[in-house]
Amino acid sequence: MPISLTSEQVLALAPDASSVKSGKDLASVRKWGNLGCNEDSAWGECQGSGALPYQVRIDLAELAFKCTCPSRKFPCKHSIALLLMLVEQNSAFGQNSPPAWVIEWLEGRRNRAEKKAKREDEDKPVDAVAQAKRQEQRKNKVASGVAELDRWLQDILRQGLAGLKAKPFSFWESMAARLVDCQAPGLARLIRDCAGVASSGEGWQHKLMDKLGTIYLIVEAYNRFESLDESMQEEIKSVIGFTTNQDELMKTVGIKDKWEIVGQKVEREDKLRVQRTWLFGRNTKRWALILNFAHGTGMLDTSLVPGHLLEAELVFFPGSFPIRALVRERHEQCASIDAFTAVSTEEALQNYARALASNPWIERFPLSIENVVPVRHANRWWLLDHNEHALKMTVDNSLGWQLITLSRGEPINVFGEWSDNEMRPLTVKTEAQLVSL
Amino acid sequence: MSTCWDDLVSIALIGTDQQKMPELKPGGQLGILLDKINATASSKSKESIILSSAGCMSLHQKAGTIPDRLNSKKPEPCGAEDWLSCEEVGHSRLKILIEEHERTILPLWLNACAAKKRRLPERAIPLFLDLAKEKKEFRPLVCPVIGNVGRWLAAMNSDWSFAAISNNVESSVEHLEESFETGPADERVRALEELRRANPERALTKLQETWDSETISQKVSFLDVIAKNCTIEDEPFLEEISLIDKRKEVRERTTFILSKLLESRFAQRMLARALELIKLEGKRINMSFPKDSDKEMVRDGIVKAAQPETIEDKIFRLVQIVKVVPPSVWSTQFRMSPEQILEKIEFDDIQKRSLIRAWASAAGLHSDKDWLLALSNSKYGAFIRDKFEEFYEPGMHEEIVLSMMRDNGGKLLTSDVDYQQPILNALLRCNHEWSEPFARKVMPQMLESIKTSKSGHAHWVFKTMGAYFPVSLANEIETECKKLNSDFREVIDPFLTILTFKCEVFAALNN
Repeated sequence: MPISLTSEQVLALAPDASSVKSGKDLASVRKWGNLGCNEDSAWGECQGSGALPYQVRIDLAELAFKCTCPSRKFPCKHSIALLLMLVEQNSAFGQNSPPAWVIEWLEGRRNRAEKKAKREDEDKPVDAVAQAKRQEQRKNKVASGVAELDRWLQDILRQGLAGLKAKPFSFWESMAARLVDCQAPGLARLIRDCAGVASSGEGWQHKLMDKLGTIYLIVEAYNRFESLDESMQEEIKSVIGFTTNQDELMKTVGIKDKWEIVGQKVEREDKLRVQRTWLFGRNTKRWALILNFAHGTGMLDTSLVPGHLLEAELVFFPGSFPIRALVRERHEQCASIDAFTAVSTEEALQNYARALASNPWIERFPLSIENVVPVRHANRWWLLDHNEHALKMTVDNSLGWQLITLSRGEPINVFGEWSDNEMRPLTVKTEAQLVSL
Repeated sequence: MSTCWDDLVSIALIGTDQQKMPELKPGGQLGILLDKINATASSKSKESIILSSAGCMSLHQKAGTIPDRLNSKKPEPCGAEDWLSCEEVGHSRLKILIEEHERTILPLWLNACAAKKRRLPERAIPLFLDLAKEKKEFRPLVCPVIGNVGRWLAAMNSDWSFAAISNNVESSVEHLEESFETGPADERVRALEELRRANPERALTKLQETWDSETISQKVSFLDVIAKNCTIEDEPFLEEISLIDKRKEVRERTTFILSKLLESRFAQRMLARALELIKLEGKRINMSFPKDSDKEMVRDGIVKAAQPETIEDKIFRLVQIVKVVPPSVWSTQFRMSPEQILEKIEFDDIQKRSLIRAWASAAGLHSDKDWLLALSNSKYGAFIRDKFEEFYEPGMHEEIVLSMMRDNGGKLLTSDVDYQQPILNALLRCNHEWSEPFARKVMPQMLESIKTSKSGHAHWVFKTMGAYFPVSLANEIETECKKLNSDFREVIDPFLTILTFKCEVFAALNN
């Protein structure tokens, strides 16, 4: 099997808790027929409620799934079960050539990938005039949105933040909706983020002022857009919510490296699930963030599994501090890693400060810190380094105690997202193991 | 800087309509930047300048984040472990074990962990401590397998204090004594348990020192600790202090312990009384009744019935004596097997029933397998089976099911209606790891009952039993199940799913 996964990692691919349970229940050899695998794929037939068994197949090269069941979840419980059995009961799989329905699917995938690549290579005729017109229209819409936001923010200041405590959610939502209409969804999201701050308890006015000030910097920057250098312009466009043509981006030259897949976090924003996967280049010493989105229980990328090494070429979205990236080309299959690169607390925070200097609107920054001890103090959770420097953690009690237990009171390496001056741990490396939290 | 920021926020809070623009002079590079922003005051509004300044100051604060310094020391590392962790079981499986198999597989698995000297994986320990915090019955199962790291962790969280004491016999007696003296109720019980293991004499001394000031529930908890490994060394304390306690609950618990300690003065007194009351005269077993309770009898817990001086009162006092005397005494005394003795009793109905139930209690109390089986298989079996339930050892449950099956022509199902199937109900009490011989005898009948019965109860019992079926026979039963018609999948699949899960979690202990 080219990819080395643990049962935990397989279950982490499931779209929800019920899929974890169902996948586990189905991961019993007696419920399957024609189990087989080779270097590139695994397959099996699982008897469901229908007359014919479901045909389940996995592309092991890129960890892609296909099942004939009607489930709209992805990966479905049958796919999870098959991969789980491959990991836990590998001997139950015959090492034979795949059946036709697996070969067809794999070939289809390869053909589609080739066609896509070919399409990307072919220069499509672009209607430059129409494109320029569309860009100009959007620019005008965004400019009107930003101007309205400017006035709205100044109004808030004029009347005072204290009055915001009594404002309904719709006060923020109506401004956010207006910004969406003006094609500035990034700004809309930042405004929605402010909605609950006024009722967030002690120190709310500081938090809100911090957020409003940061948003106002975007307003100011946009008003001086033309005078800024190109990379900063890209950053501002990104914050406002301009999309980047990913097909065009894929044509650019990327950065080849051995990327440690250090951590992953899936968060739900209404009906949308957002998956953030953090990679660190071993040679280039740079971070990359791969974002994936799925509606409901739809498909999230399953090919990037934390705790593995990916030899690949990544292309980065343009900006003054490029960090968001796409996988342009994979060179080698993933191998598991037993550690990730980490630095001292001081160096990690310096890296953050440098990143802020390039991009003042960084919301989450990857921190990979070595030799810290998780502790509980004054009803809060902290990471304490050898200089007695303590970083606050955003964790619930359950995770906090887990971290303390995993450390056994000894220093461990912790990777997490740094946001609002607090660390949210995603992966830890203890003396004995690498654990995705 | 913080003063400037506070000034800024104060103005923003009240609103610029009612405030003057503050003078922001934080100094340094930030000061220069704010000066530049202020320099645009002629072309910009006050609000714009405040918002821009806030943005810059917020950024300045983020970039200059200085980690906090705590007024606390790092915890001492917890040290090495004596047992290997059963890491292979996987975190998600352990969560499923707690969430879905708490009452069935989990207790068996935790016992197996302890037996194989495997400890819980680090990451799962908080989950198990939380479980034991909420459900006290899990404490004796969880505490032995949390390892040194679990005890170290528990010492940091008062919710888990019940687990904070070392399992290690070598843990210092002073530390245990301190826990016993000053700890919360649960911790004191654990401390006494450990202290008895480390230094039984000292444990008894400490207990005597505090006894008079203890609450009833604490006294009963301490007596439960003594009951676990009571020896004749504990007898003076039990006889001279605990047995004469003011509270009935404490006295009752004490008589229970002393009854099992056959060398105790209490047990000997009860034996002497019993031998006076039940005698073999010729070929006949005769029974007489105790005289009025004297002071010593009252001290030993032999009390009058609600209506004194009646025949019920006399029987009541007889039962109180017979039920604590080992039934083997009668076999030895009369030189007869339990079956022969049971054949010989010829009293009126009330007396007979009372004596049989007293013997059933005694057989359970002293785990006398011969007497339990004889009683269970006798014509009084159905009448006293309920009496055994609280006393049965796992092996006895199996014996009872098998004896009931023998009486039923080897079958599990009787002609009774669905939920009153006595053998199935007895099988439900076999909620322990089945022995292989038992599983081999029961399984063919279980499969048969699935085929021949449409009883929902029978099907439900079968599904449930997957948790107790021996792992060693899993492949065998799976093969047998596959031979069944697919119509029975609804019954077979849940059984095998549970059994498969059990096999997985148990396999992790063998790696």
